[in-house]
Amino acid sequence: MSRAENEAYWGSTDTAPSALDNFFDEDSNVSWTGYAGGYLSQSSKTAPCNGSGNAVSHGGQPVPSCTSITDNITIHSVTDRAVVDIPGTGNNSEKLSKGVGKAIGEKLDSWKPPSVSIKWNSSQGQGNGYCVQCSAKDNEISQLKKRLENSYSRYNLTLPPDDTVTRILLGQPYSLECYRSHEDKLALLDAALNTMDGSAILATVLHMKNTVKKSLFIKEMQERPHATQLYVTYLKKRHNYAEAIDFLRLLGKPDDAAILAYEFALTSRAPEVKVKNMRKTLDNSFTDPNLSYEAKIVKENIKLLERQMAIDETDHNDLTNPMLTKYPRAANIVDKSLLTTLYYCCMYHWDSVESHAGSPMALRKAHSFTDHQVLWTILRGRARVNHWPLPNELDSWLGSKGLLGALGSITSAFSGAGKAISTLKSTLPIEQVVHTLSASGAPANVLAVYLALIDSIDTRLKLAMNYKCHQGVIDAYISQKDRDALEKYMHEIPAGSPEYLKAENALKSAKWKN
Amino acid sequence: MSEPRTLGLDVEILRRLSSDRLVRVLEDAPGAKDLIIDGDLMKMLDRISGATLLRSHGVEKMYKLERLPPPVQSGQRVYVVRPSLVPLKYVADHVHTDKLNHPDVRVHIVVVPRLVSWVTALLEEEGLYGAVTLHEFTPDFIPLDDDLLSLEMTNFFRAINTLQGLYGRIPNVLAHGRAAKAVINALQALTDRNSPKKMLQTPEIGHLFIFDRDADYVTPLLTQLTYEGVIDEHFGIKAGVVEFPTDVVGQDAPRKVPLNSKDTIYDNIRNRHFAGVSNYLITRAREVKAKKDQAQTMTTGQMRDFVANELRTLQALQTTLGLHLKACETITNSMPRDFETRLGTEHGLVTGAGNSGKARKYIKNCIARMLPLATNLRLLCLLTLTQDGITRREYEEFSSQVLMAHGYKHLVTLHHLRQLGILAVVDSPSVGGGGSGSTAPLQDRFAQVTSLLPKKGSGWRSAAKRLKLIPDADEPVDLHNPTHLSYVFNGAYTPAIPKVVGDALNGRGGQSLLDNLKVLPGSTVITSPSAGSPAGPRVALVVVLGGLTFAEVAAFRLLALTSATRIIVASTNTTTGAQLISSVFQD
Repeated sequence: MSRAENEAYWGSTDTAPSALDNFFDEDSNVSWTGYAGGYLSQSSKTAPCNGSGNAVSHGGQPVPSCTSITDNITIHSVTDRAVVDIPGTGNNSEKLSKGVGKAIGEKLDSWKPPSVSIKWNSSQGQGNGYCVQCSAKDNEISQLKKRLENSYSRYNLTLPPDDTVTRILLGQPYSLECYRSHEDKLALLDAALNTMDGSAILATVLHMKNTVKKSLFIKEMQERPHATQLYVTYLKKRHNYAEAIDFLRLLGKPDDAAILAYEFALTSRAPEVKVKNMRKTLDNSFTDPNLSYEAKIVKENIKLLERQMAIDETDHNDLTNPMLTKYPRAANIVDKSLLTTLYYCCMYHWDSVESHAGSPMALRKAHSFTDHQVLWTILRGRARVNHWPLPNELDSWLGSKGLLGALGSITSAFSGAGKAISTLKSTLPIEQVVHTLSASGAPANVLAVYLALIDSIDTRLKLAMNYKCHQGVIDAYISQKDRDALEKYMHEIPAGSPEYLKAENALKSAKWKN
Repeated sequence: MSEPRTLGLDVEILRRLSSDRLVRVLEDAPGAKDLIIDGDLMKMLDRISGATLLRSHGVEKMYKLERLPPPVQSGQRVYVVRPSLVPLKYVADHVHTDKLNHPDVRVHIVVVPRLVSWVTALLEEEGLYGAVTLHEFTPDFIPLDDDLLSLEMTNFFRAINTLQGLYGRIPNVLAHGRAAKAVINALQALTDRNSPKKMLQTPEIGHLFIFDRDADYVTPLLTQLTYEGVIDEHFGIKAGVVEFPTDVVGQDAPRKVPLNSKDTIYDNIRNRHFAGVSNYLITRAREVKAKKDQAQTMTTGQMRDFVANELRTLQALQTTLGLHLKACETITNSMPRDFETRLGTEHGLVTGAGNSGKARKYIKNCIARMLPLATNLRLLCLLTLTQDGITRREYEEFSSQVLMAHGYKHLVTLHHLRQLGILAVVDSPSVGGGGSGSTAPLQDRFAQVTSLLPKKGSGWRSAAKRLKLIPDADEPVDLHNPTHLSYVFNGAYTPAIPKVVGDALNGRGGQSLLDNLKVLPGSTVITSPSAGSPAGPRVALVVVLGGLTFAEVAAFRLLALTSATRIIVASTNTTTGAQLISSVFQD
């Protein structure tokens, strides 16, 4: 239908939207005949009216008012199509506009479909007694009549789904109550999905959820992942976790359900409750073998939380631990990460026996740390309390588990600190370690030991200079056999200091290239 | 840069439009009223209108929405909130409390940007339906600059529709990604409903491009190197305004500074490579000082003239120069010691020239050092994307280290990152196909529409090759007088979205571009003007759903110069990799 025709129909296209608005307005004086008629017969187009139309002409009696409605229908459905139809979704809207009638509103109460029953009564009268087929037809007609009349009820008059969705999109008033048949609901949902508009999709999803049984709802949602996602988001926004978890599980997404259950278990504040909820979650949601890794993580979380509670319990009232008084605890350790816990234990319980809840060694054995995690955390944790362990002090921390650990400790027994140093070198970027140590205020002698681990002498020298670690500079020059440079550097070192003496010594005894 | 910028349309009109709309909402509650604003909406409202405008429409006091209600002073209170559970619960509690002591107070709730259906349902459940008056305020794109529009919100459909309404139907459209396609569908539906007269108007915008963020996650994950990008990463730019901390401004309180092209100094440095900024600033500072020094040899007449005209400008220049120099200094000092290593690792991963084993080791060390979670995940995600996905076993190794360092609860974060395809794991049985649920926090920030991202676990490298995103290593890229878009990443990588737009604008579009786009997730929709109708002016609007980085904005500005096109960039918000990642966090 062309734009001009359309305008003729509406008077002017520009008024069309406002007429739509008035549709919900009690006091407006829009004529409804054409409009409602249009939709009315649109609904009839599916099956009933087409059939009845034929029957009527069989009877040889033209029914002018019905044809006029039919005319309107065609016109109107085309109008509708012209407005709604858009490239790309053309097929869809065609499918959707089929079988859908129209309209809500008080207006319809006063508007009666006056002609229908009279017309059909008369046709019935004519057909009676003439043939057997006719009585079947009559039956059909009376049924169709009922359905048609039912469809006048304002609850059964439905806007085409695209129109309703557009109304949601434009923020105009709308009602979904009229979409009662399952097909209508699906058509509505799919129309909303086509727009990708969250609000529209959610409204239609909730409408479906509230009106169909759960299994049916799940079945339809399984085919519509985007709708599923928005619905779950909505449930979470409303803090309705239980329903969301249940929904995901029924949907056949055990992984998503499990993660959400875990998330939910963590929302409780008290650690005891958290542990209890996580246990429950493990039993209920993490049984799928595909989730063994995730289940392991949750178990670790429980284990850690229990240890943290024990640590907090002992440290809370502990007046005997001097570290706790010297460095008052900034925060409760409960719910912190595993590495933070190790850091904490290194700060406050470095010397504790392994049976103590806060023993860092016990923690290290209870969880499977990697070497570099352990080393970094110890270095940082000890530095916090102004203690900078030398590489050989870290020996006992490395590979102390299993066969490999046992083998390691045998080797280290023979080679002294050798293993720790080589492990340290291969595990940590020593340059970064030096940066960290220096930033934490480590003394020069500690820095020098770590500097010595750097393979590149140039880098070592640069860093030593940068951090004014005389010992490191001297060592570097000695290994470079650079007497001139060392002599020059002597001016930087305070005379009489141990470094100065060492340098002097070296100048006398070491072998030099110059 | 001024030449293409002056072409055609006035974007300032957009702000007026939003502002008028806000006024209309306020006038729906005529008379004196107190305003109670959701904290997350403040910046945006700031950009739309000033306090003066609000006051002239009856606003007396303004409060930030908190758990406890502010004192009741005038007969009306207007709440401005997002459709989100917590603020709405606050409002409901306020209303219940106030009802006891002040039964006469009238309450209006303005929901921004959409009065979605469940908000009404929620208020109904609270027994407040009818007791409060509901309004909706939908802001349009907010111009942050002549060439940068931001929604700071997630309602695209109407915003783009407004643009078409104002500037005419855009003849050339290229949209890529599922959400992009939906925007076009919705647009057409809305456009057809509008008065057809608008569509006859000569278009003021010739090209429209729409992309999803998922077309290129690598760009936000890389460390930004343009001045504006670096500022955003260090201090955070929100709705075109940065809040410099005390050590930059040299005062007791932090200062908010608007960053846009009206500031000529800033306009000159914003897109420069960070390494060249302080030199430029110093040169300019010397010039200014020289000019001031000239004043000492002036005659009285000249002096009077100088004081009347130039002095003020020079002093303002000096202040700005000083501010930015200080910002540069602060940033340089706070650079981590291993910044070079980090940058080298990133660029090595992207170009494929680096040793990925070394990169893995570096990442593990960063995790063990407990660098900020967003920093660690950013690098980890970059690794997984550039390796076309890591194996499930490797994922378990990395993720367990992340969880040990940052807390087991981030299992949820990692799950969401995988769902979004930012963390790419191949052969992952535990993440279901299709858009699986529970990505709530991200969706709040992203356009609702971008939530449905296709799974991505492979193919980035072939995509980068097809689109020629990795520049030839033998061709040096001039970082300080850039000619190539990849200068924003030291010549290691060309941001994909500007690259595609550039190809299309420079006539390298057509079938080959379409074929190349197939390697990116999502489908492509192209419309061209019908034969005989005008192709439209060389003004392009680029819309990126789900956040845009300043590195990309800089690339677009360079593209605007080289292709002699005015390019206006619009997005839901400006973002950084850290923001992208932390938007997935739970708390």
